Amino acid sequence: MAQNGEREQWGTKIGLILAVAGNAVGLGNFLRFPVQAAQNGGGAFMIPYFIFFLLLGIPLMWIEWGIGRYGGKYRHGSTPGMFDVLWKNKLAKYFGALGLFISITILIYYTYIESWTLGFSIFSLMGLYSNETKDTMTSFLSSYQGISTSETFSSILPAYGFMLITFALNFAILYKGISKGIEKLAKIAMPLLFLFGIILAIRIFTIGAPDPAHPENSVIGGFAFIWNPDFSALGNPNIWLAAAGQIFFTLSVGMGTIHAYASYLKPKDDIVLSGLATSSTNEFVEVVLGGSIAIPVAVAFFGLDATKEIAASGSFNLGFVSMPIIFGSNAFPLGEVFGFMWFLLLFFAGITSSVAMGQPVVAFLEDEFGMDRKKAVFTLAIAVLAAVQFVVFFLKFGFLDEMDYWAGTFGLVVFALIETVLFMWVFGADKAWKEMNDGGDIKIPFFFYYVMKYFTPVVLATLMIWWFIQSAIPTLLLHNVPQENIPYIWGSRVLMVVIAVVLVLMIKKAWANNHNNEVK
Amino acid sequence: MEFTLLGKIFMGIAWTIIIVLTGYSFYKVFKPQKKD
Repeated sequence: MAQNGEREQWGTKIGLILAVAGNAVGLGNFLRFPVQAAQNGGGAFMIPYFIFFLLLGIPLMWIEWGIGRYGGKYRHGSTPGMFDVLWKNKLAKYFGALGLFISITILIYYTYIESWTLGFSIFSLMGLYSNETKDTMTSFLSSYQGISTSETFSSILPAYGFMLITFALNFAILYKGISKGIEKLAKIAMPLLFLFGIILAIRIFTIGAPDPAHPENSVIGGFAFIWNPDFSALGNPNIWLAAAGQIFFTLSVGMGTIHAYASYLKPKDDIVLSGLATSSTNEFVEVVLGGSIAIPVAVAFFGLDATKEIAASGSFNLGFVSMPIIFGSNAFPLGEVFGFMWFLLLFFAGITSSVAMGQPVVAFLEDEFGMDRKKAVFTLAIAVLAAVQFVVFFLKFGFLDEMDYWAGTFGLVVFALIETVLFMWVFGADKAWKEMNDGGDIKIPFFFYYVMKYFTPVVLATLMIWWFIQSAIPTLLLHNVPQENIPYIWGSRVLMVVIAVVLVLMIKKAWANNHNNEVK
Repeated sequence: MEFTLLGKIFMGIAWTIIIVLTGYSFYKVFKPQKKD
């Protein structure tokens, strides 16, 4: 590992909290949560949601902060090195490869989606969409993505340009480093995200019922759709798994990113209060702001039945088709400005997450190969820009969805289970408990000792087994995949295998080098 | 769709829990800490 010079550190505690909260707050807070709530029992969904927030989300946050800070003491900013110091076994570092694999794989496609939000924010200001219908807006989006052509977009060039700009911004921030890059971004982007979110929520709340002929289509109806409880849903185990899944995804755990950020803490810096503050900030953005924008305004403009259809068709349609129709409508004064705010808010949510996904690999190259930051970021940029070409040009064949399933859905749960078992069982619950509480501004209630040791791994194992049976097997066997997509799906799998193999070989080489250096 | 009283109560409780938790944690973050 690199022994020269001091490792970077966070400049301020609030900067760190905003950076980790920025990592957690993503597109899903505004698009996935309200749909999940509305489809899974409304207000009753919040019962399992809060139970899992308390018993799964917050404990996992503390576990990841704890592993990260512990690894940082040994100059490891990525999970291969962290797992290696937690478990004195030759295999440990290879389990940690998953933390690099997941973060870099998600970074590849997530940043492309993030670039759409940047593009759409500019299109909003330009008034490029106005008085659109569902069909014309769907065509607008698919032509932007290069899936079809339209009067507005005849090629994928604009999307490609915004993709390059977004990647350039991400790599520039990573290049600037922890304090001057990532922390500075969080201090600017997160307050603006809150501001835009609050302005949008207030504006939408005051819309009422925009069509006097249909007074039943109102913002209040949207809140009713999300919040009216259906207690019968609580008897359905799928609802409980949906709540556990939502908590899991919204906090961005199981990716290796929180570990990387926490590794730049000093050994006695607090992680208990910081973990709680980041989790609750994420929940504020998700439940209070996220639940007050997209679904309520969709019900007001399209009515309840149409919103149910939109919600069922997925988060992308809600964000990139329905919302532009609303902002481009004559019934939404200053829609260009509010549309700009909506997409820029999503862009801020995205970029604070994507830089976090780049950091584990940058830290790995710096700490284990002794690269300077410039070389590490440049290496990451080359690798990611090469891989994203497949995502951009094979989007319509399900290339991105396949990566999202294995890395961004299933992989997260597998990794979270591994790290929980490793920290609480292999490293030892007593040592882990002491490590997490060390330097804490508040103490973790002792009840969580048992939660982290027993409840969290059991829930994660249940989620993993459930999803393996429900969706991993059909996905693996390519059920319901159009025939023409199959070669591309396999291409996506080959790319992921290549990424995984390269990472494993790099870990092997890094440890061989470091061991030789230690012997010398 | 009518926004029922129970719906309003659930929304109110959820918002209150989150706002109190966020407020509490940031109050503690900004409050000077005394450490041994």
